[in-house]
Amino acid sequence: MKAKKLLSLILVFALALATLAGCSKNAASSSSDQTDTGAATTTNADRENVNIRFAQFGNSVDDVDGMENDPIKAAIESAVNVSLEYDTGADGFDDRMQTELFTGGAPDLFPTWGESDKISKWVSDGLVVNISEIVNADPDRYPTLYKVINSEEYKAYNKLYTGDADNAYAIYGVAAFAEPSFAGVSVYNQAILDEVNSGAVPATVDEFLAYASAAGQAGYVGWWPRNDKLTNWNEIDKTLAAPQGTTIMAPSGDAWTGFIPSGTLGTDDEYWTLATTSEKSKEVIKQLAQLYATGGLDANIGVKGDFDDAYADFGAGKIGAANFGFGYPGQFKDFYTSCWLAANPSAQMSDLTLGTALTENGTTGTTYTTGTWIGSHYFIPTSCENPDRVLDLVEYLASSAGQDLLQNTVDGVFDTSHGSDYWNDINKAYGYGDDGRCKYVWFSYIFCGTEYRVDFENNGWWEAVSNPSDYSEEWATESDQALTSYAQGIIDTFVDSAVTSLPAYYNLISLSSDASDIRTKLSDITNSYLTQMIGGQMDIDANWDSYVSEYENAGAADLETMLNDAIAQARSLQ
Amino acid sequence: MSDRNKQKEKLFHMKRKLGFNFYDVFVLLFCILFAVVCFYPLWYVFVASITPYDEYIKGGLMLWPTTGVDLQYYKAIFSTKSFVNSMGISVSKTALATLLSLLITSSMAYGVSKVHIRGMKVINALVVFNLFFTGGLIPEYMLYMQLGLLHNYWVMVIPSALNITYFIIMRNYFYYSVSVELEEAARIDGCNDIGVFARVVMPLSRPMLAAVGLFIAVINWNDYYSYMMFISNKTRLQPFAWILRRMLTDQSMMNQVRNGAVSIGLQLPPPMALRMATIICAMLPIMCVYPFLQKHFTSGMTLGAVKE
Amino acid sequence: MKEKKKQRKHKAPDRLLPHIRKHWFIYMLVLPGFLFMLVFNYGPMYGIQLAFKEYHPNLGVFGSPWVGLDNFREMVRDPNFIRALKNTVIINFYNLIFGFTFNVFLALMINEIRLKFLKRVIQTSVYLPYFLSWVIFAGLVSVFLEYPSSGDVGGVLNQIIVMLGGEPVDFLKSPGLFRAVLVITNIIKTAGYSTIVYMASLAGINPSLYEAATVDGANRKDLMFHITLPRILPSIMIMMILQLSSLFISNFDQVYNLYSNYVLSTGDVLSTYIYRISLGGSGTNFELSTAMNFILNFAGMIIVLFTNRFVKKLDVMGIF
Repeated sequence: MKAKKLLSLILVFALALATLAGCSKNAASSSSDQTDTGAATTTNADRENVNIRFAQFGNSVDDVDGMENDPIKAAIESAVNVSLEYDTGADGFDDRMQTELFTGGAPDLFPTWGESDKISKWVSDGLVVNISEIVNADPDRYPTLYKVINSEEYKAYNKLYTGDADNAYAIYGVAAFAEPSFAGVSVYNQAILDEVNSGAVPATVDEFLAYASAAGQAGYVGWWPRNDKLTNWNEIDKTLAAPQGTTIMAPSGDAWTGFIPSGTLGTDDEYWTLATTSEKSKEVIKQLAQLYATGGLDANIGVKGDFDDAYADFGAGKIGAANFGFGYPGQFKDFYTSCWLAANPSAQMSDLTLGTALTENGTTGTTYTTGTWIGSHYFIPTSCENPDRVLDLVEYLASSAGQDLLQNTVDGVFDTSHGSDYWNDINKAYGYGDDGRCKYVWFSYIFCGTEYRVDFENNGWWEAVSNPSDYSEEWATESDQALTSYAQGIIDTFVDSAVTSLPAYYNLISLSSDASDIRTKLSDITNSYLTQMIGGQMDIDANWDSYVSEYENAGAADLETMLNDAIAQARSLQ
Repeated sequence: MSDRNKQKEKLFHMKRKLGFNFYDVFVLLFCILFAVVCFYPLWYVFVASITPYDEYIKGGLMLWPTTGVDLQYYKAIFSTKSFVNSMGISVSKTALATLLSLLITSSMAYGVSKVHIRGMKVINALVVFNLFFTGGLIPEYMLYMQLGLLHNYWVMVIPSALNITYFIIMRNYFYYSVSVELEEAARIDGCNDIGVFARVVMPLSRPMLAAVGLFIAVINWNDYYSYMMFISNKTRLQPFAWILRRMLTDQSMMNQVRNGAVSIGLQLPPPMALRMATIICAMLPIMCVYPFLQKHFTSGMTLGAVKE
Repeated sequence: MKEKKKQRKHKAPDRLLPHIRKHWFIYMLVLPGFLFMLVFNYGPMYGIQLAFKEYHPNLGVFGSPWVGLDNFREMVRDPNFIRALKNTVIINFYNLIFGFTFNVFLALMINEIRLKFLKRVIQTSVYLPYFLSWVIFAGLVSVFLEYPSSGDVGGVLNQIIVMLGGEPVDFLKSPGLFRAVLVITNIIKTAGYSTIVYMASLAGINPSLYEAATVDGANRKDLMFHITLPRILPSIMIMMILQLSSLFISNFDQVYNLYSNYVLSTGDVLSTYIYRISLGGSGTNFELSTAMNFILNFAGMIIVLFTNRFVKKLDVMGIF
């Protein structure tokens, strides 16, 4: 017994020692001695060939043969003189990246979403490499990156994320959409439109409500807005609430979501007021409850899923109108092929009709946007052995040659010598369908959250990412092109009145973590109240006051102050 | 024996011969009803997976593949290389992990069930403590890194070898169901501890070993977490459970199968139907093992030489 | 059982080394498991201290600063946490009362079936849902319980209710019914699993016991209550303790795939709540999740220790 105890004690002790030793070894292996100050004539070919593991969300690496025959990968490898190893995942990807980062095993270049809390913690804990330090030490080796990270706008982002303007720890994936994107347009099943509305496409809120109810009475589901089990109110909000001059969204996503501006935007007298719990919003909820009661909304909305259940129902002709974010014309094409055409192989384009943004008293609802998309940011962990070589890779990809290779262009002009088959074959190895995207699926978010081509050679960082080049029109097959241009044509008729651009400093709004806590609570309250009110479990008039008071208790008024202060601060940073 | 008892006995045997009484009918109805409730969901998935999609989306109860059998989804699945490969990985790692786990867990449980031997109670407490407390992801990750288990096939086999839950169940079973008298008898016949363990205890415990083996096998068969967290980037080591998981959550996996289907000349299959077929594929191998194990835990009645 | 106690007394103090030498084989049997446990279970155990620390990866687990009970305070500050905790306990309690009893009952009923073939078929069928993951199973549950909407007759169950002249029931959206849905689907999915444990224990009963009792005039009810049930009592108790040990831990996959905003008041459990609030947050919060696991498992352990005492009073071996 005693011997046993002793033995176990020794074992535990030995184990603890081993673990400790392991920890300190990891912490010690930082990478301060990596500043290679080679002569100006040194090229990548002269540098050591190293292995670089690059991670990106949502691809696949199952097809080993396809990967070996990938000409783009080979071209990058030979240009930078490295060997690339791709790492990817969807389920649990973020957890794994964080665990690997914390334990010293992260990929040499990996992404995460940009929350300032997280990034500044990584920086203060010394987990990620200071890119500025390496790049500024050798501008000749990294000319493009040098220009990028020393631009004023880039420094503003540094300040936003870490509070330290002069040191960049990430490659920011911020970019503008080539087209303005918005939500709140329905696509109609033309057969049902013919049956219950004599083929007329609803143009006003009242016409739309009447149509959805009529379709419900006729034995269809009137309207299916994408809603993620009633946790995502964006489509509902933009379709019905926006034209009526309010919003039912809880503050979430963009800092100003859930608020309506007054005063002149971009000046000192702009002020954003919380509209989620306003009287106007209450009217919108009543309309929705009415729709639900008459079959205008699916009786199982909030329970059924969007992509499995609603797609199947729409494909089977059971739904009169559906919203899936068609403000982005490519999405109409995707919806048509994967939802309608998949269930009806002999379908024609005329089976579906894309509606317009609804109006109320002659005005269209407004989407407030800065027009930019913040994608994932890329980091080099301090456990990486050759951060300078990783930056060589990044430098190459940022250069015109690299962008040409990734985006299928020659000197910024679309390269027609490669058909879409060429690209489909390459990208299929990584889990993509015959989507005809004529560009490479790896490194697609780095530099540019919207996966477009950026021209750092002739532009500063911000000019480049806010004016990326989109070649989607050039690559599409004839039928895809027809679908996209159909959607584009309709959207063009109202996009100017539906989208209001916010001043650029709105990108720099930074809310405190207290504000995020309030926002999280408000979203939870909204999800629960609105769902039950619309579903008829809760009387709207009787419970609206308690909805409002729960909002107050959770700190809604404080949030309004915080937001307006943050906007004022961002305005002053400008 | 009194006359009354004799009469009772006669009646009992008569009932037995005649077949069912009210009680039997209740038992049967209850069991059959519940069995149908349990069986139907699976049957639904199966029928849906062999029904042409345009029929499937019309809805219905899927009681029978009325509009003909369509095996295209299965063809699509089996034409995907990583599916076939992952089947192999799953079978091998499940077999290895189950054997190792059963061996370690059952032998330790047997030892610890001998409560009169010194130290066993302490060891038992040490094991049970793990039911409630674990170190968490980060220390585990570090440990596997030091042991060289990261990105390694064996991380799916070794760390889970001692299963706490089944340790407890088996220890209890050994304590109650393996009679001390029988062990003593064997010892008198000249068996030592090893002989008792091999010739008496193990054969007697067949029902429990079979049942626990099945459970552990199912756990290992369905385990994708160890791949997801600790291997993650070695495509050839993906177990089937991970493929299934990806079919449910990851667009890129789905695309891969759909592309494969098109390239062998099939129509582009809809995701929902592919999922159904994948579920069936994921269950088949373990379903094949089940009857062989079931034999052991239901027909133990004939064992005879059990306690008292 | 009596013999066993006596035996234990007989093994009175002898010296350690001879004792080990005498039972060396038993020690050898225990050793591999013991080593595995030390390395893989106790090796990472030092991570528990994260519950009381603010983790800085560069400082390691040991070097990170202590923050006392801050992580726990953060947890309980939110009223929704309390609601989720309450729901978790209530749902698990129902699972224990109804699910657990049902499982024992089912095992006894299956044991009563005398047609061997039928018995096997039924046993296989009830075990089948255990193979389906909750994502799938919950999807099927939603299909079967669907409420009729315009142009759609609804799920099977509602079709049957309407056929029998009733009003359709909105199972998945009624807070009052949601816990019942959870408990019942849990029974269907896991009943077969526990049944097998009981069946395996039953397989160890000597048939001559039944024969003898029958000869003595016992009817089948007597056989069940006086032979079958006492024989599997230890297994029942162990299964009960095991279920109690996770009284505060909820089945994320089940609830997440079945619940919706309609039923948050009764259906939101700890794991779904944490998932929801951390979605917009900054990744996995290792301290918070460690703290949470620690406190919930600690509570589970207290309950188990308590039950264990009670179980030992019944002269059944507990888990400690």
